[in-house]
Amino acid sequence: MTIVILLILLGILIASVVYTIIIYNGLINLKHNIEQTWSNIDVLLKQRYDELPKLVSICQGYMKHEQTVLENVTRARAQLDNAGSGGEVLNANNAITSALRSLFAVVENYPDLKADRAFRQLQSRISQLEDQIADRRELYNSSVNIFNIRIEQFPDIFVANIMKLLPRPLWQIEPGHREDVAIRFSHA
Amino acid sequence: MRSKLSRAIHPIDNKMLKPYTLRETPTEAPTGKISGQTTVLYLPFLRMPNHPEEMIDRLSLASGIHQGDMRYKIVGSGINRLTPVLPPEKQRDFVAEMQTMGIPAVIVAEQMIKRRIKLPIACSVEITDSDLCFFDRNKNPVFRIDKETDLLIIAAELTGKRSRKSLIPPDLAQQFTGPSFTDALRKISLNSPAAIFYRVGDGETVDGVLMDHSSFHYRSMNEYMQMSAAANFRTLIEKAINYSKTCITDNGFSSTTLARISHDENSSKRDILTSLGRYSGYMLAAAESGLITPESKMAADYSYTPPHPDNDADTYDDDRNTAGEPVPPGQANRLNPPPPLQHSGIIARLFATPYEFLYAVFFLLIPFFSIYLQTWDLNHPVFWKTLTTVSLLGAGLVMFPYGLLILTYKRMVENTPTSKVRSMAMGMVEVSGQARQYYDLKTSHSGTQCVYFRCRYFRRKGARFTGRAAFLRYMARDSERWVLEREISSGRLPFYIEDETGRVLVRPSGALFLISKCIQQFSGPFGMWMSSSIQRSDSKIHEDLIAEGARVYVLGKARPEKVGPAISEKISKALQALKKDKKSLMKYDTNNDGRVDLDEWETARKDTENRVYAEMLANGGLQEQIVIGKPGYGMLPLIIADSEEGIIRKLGFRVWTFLAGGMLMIVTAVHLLTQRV
Repeated sequence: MTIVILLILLGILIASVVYTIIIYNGLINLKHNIEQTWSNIDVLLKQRYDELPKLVSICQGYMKHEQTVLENVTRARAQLDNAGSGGEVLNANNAITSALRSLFAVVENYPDLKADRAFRQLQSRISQLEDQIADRRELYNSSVNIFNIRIEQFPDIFVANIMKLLPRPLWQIEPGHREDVAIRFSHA
Repeated sequence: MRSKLSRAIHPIDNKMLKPYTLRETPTEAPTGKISGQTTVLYLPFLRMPNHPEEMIDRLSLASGIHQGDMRYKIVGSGINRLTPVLPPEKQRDFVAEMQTMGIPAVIVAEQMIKRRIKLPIACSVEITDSDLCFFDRNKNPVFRIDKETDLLIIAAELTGKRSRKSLIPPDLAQQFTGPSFTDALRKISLNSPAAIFYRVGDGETVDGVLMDHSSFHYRSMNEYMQMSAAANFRTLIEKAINYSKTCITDNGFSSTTLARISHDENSSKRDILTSLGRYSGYMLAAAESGLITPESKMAADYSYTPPHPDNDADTYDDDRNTAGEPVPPGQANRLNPPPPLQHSGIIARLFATPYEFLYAVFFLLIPFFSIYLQTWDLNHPVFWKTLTTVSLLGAGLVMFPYGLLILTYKRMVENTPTSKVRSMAMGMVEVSGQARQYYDLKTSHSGTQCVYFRCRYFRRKGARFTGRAAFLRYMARDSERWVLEREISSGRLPFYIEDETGRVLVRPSGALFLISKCIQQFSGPFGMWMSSSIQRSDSKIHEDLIAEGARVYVLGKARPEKVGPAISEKISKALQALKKDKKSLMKYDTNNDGRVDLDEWETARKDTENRVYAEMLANGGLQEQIVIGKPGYGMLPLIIADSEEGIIRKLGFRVWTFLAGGMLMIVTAVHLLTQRV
């Protein structure tokens, strides 16, 4: 009988060790998932970043009276160049998104520009990238959310504490970017 | 000629519409015997044609109806009547324009539609070898169907339910083509069905009968009667079709948009019958005026699949062929599926058994034989104990790690966020959406559109039971006597998963398939889903299927896959073509000896390779499509399920079963071993 009890205890011990290993591996997996999803966003952000100068140069030819809007785009792009921490990168990208929204809204007032084939192609390409960035941002937030929940759940919290894992920040929009874009039409 | 006009929808090839020319002189619109007020009946498109603007302009010009209104008038389900009523000359122009465009249209007299039709109600029927005769309550014959009868059958359910199909976006409409008359009849027959039988005549006299399910005595069908009223209704319709000379069938009452036919689920039966009477007036007028005829291919062929220029009906892609055909998202370019897998007898039974059960049997059989081979004595006192110990230990040692593996899968499902198809990155991804067909796959028995099916044919073992004995056996759920005779399965074929942002191909080979399948059962005369093709009480058919549009969850590895033939294959084909073309080949005969020697052939080969590469680059390089499949290495899974919550629940149950069961088995086995020692 004693042997049976010992065997059961041994079994439970083995199961606990294996379960701990699974939790550890799961947390490592989650941690790297977040990094991967962030890198996947980076790929798209870089593509959008590369398209911006082309867009600005096309628009400059038509929108001589909308220099402020174009400057906003250029400034936001430069802000991304100077961004150091993750938070600054997020803010710079939010600024680019906001500047582009203003730009595309103002373009409505320039039929010649809207009719330009190169502009239409660029606009379509940037819109596609924006959609994809939005999707991947959602995915990043999901990854972060799962990670944050996991490291505070029982029994994962013990392993997370040993691993010194801390909650990650979500990618949130700044309050200013939630406001409607103010459109001002300048008549030539 | 027999044909079916299901809900009076007609398929019209879009290709017919594009290149039509302006009419020089109006064609004569068929008017028949018309006097007094006239109106236009026509069969609109089920879905908007590809380029309708010019059509709408012309029809609008001919009729004087605003273009915006016309857009809605030319699309709809079932027979339609043009409103407002136009002057006669406008009607003629309009009908001629419609006919030029391939839309069946006709001018009929208002009185043909508005005539009061008083139909006798059939209470019984007599079916002989040559004809079928309906009788009223007083046993007077009221309607006869024989080989001279041109028949119009309108089947309808008297529940008042409506299934309007207007305002479906044109790009989606092709998915809503609706069932055929046979399929619709199966549904109608289950819910208070009724049918109107008309003899299609010259338009002067009306000869018909109303058969109302609630007041009809199926017993009068004698040997054709079965236990299910629904099956009896279907049999009666089937007999009527078979006995007639020509037959037009229609089931469009519930989806009609005709004026003055208004009823709903709250309407009384009297109101619904009044609406059905009005509807039948339109249908009879359409049949008598030649708008719908049994000979009309357009009207008859209901199951319309939009043509696709790239659709090659003779090709199919094998699941094992990773280089699939290019099927751009959103296009209805479905390939023919490979032949289904067929098994019978023991093999079929083996395939129908859960694989976990097979593992268990395997782990019991191995020690049994190994110990028996050592002792050669089944009555040896140690034999059974040793067998039990070894079996338990073996099973426990497999179950416990398997439980851990399933636990890993479960946590992977929980830890992976759901991606959108549009922005899916390469690597392990989780996608959720609806299953869409890659192959034009239909279940082998009922022909239901699906992405996977397994059809099992059962036969009752022993003597065939009839009458009360059969009924009692059925009620007693005597399923033990059902023997699996044959199994047909589609196998795990690729399918698309579609969310609101796009679709991606899934290759399910090697997947953990934990999806709940829809089950359809077609059994003997007692089943609700009686199939007209099964008349034997000793057979039944089970169909497990994942229907087109079913909710699907996939966790797997997304990777790019090359589309089209490999570059080596292209080079090989180009070289073969060069060998056959003597003139081109001899251009490489630099020493003019009349033959291509080894060095010259090498030059030819390199030239060909370069040309193929150049052509490939000029066409944008090798095409790629994204697929989700099983990861090629490690223990990473490909899981296909209904939903994330569902798979977590299923895996959770398995985890605890296998971990606890495995642990228990190991402990018991060690305990038995220590006892022996």
